[in-house]
Amino acid sequence: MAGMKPASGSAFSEDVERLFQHEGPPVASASTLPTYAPPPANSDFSSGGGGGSGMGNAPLNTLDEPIWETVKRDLHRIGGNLILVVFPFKNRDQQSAALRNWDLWGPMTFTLVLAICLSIGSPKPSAVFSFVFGTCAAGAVVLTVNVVLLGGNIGFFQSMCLLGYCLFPMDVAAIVTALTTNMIARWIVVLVGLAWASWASVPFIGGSVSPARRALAVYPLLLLYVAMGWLALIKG
Amino acid sequence: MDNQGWKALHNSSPNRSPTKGSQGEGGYDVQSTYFPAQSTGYVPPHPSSSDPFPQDSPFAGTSMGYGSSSVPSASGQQQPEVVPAVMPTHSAPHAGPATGDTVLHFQESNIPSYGVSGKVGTSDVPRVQSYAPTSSLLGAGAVPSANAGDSNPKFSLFNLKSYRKYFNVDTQDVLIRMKDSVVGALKPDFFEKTTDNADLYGPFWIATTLVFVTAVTGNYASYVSYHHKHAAATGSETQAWYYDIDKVGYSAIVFYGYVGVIGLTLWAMLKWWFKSDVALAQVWCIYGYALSIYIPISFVCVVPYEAVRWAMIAVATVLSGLFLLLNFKGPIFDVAGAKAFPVWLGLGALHVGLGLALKLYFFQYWSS
Repeated sequence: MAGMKPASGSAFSEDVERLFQHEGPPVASASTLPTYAPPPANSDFSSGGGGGSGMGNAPLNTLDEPIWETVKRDLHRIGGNLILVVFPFKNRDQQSAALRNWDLWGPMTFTLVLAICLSIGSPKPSAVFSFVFGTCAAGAVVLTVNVVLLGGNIGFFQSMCLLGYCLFPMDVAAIVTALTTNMIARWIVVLVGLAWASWASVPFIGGSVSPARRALAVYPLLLLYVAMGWLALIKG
Repeated sequence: MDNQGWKALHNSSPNRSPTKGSQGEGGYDVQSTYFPAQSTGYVPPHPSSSDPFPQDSPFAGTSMGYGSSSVPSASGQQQPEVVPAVMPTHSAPHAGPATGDTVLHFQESNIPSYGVSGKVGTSDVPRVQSYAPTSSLLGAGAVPSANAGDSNPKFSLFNLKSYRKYFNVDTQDVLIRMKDSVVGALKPDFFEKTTDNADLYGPFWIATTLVFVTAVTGNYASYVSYHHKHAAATGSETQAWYYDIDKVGYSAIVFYGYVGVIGLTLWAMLKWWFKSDVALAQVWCIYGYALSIYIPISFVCVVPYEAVRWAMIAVATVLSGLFLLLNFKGPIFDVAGAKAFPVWLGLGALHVGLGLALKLYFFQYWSS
């Protein structure tokens, strides 16, 4: 969340600032945890709390807030993670920093958008929708399992999160191809979307296995994106 | 109000900067160590805070609660020498589950240990490339090291990592196996070559690739045929061409079904009827790699010449069928006795059926 840099951040080096920026939210969540589960007085935490809650920067005391605040917070987080994951221009470390704070709202949103955009105008929209949604969701799981089975070093939900966010360029391509039937424009948009999605996701997936197996880990990923690009290209 | 929480966190950073310099960077990867100091470092801004947001009040209150719970360390929190005092207390709860930081904790400490074990394992187990020249060495080395992971009690049926031995291949191995399967009719030693290291990567992703490729090329064939038909009939057609998403589903049924179900059936037959000890992974491996020749053939089959498509499908079916039959000849005839020949013929018939299904459904141009 680039807009939230502290005013005093200039005192620190940029690295420290970034580290602080992304590491902050989980810690904040942890300090709000006692709202639900007061820890013992000493530091011997025996409760297995926080299981599965990678959405670290969500304050847990949200019972009395307006729904709009909840939605806005999630949208903020999706936007922030999107920028960090899909636009790693400066360096790739920001990806792993953002993925430490993974969420699945973003992947779900982008998968839904893709499925809706690809099913618009199809004679069988429900079949296309279910195919796209099922393929993206199951594909993320299968791709992650594939990397793990190849001996890769990867966090399950981090990988799910990254693969979901990297659907965003395909979302854009699908929206554009839903608006135009010009095949040249479609080809350009789909190819750019494919290249972008691959550029954002391939180093993360490929880097998590040994170099001799990089192609084995990356190939299914490209297959998934190419399948989505194909659907965007030929939609009616 | 996440943003406010963030701001509060960042507003407090001048106060926290001495703490952060000494403690935050030192123990940053160890979140639980950081945690008490973090919460106490967190406290100061709130009493003096001008933050008016009510969402922060419980936030501050809870961090106060945490701070009071760790008051002994909080009192000396500004001095750097407290840090070593905090560090040892962490090492005890480190083994047990932590608090809300479990996720971070999990990702920091657990995953790399997977990676290390995986890398050690994969570098120890000999590559398949080495099977041909040094098969005796492989027999001595590969099987025990592959079983070493197996005998570990941690590796159960539901542990993902216990299936890593079925994915113990490099890119080079998969390519070599695909090549071997294409020319397999000439040199039917695939069964022997893969006995020690049957992989399931190839079968699964070859079948998945075929599902996608046949759906694409089948739709392309129907697109070309549509254009032929309508260009001949009238200049401008009102009815647009639509792709057929069902082709993906049908091809998934065909390929996953062929490899999965027929392979499973053959294996079950060999195992329980004929009392063979052939591994399921190996049956799947051979069935899956047998299909690899259909990937290039699918692309060739978009040519709009019926005779060429028939010839291509026939060649591919004969080659892969021979690959299957010759590689399964030994395992079946060794154990099945008089029933071997019918079973063997049945496999061939099913494979011809697959070729016909491909030709008649996916590469069938509409009547022109």
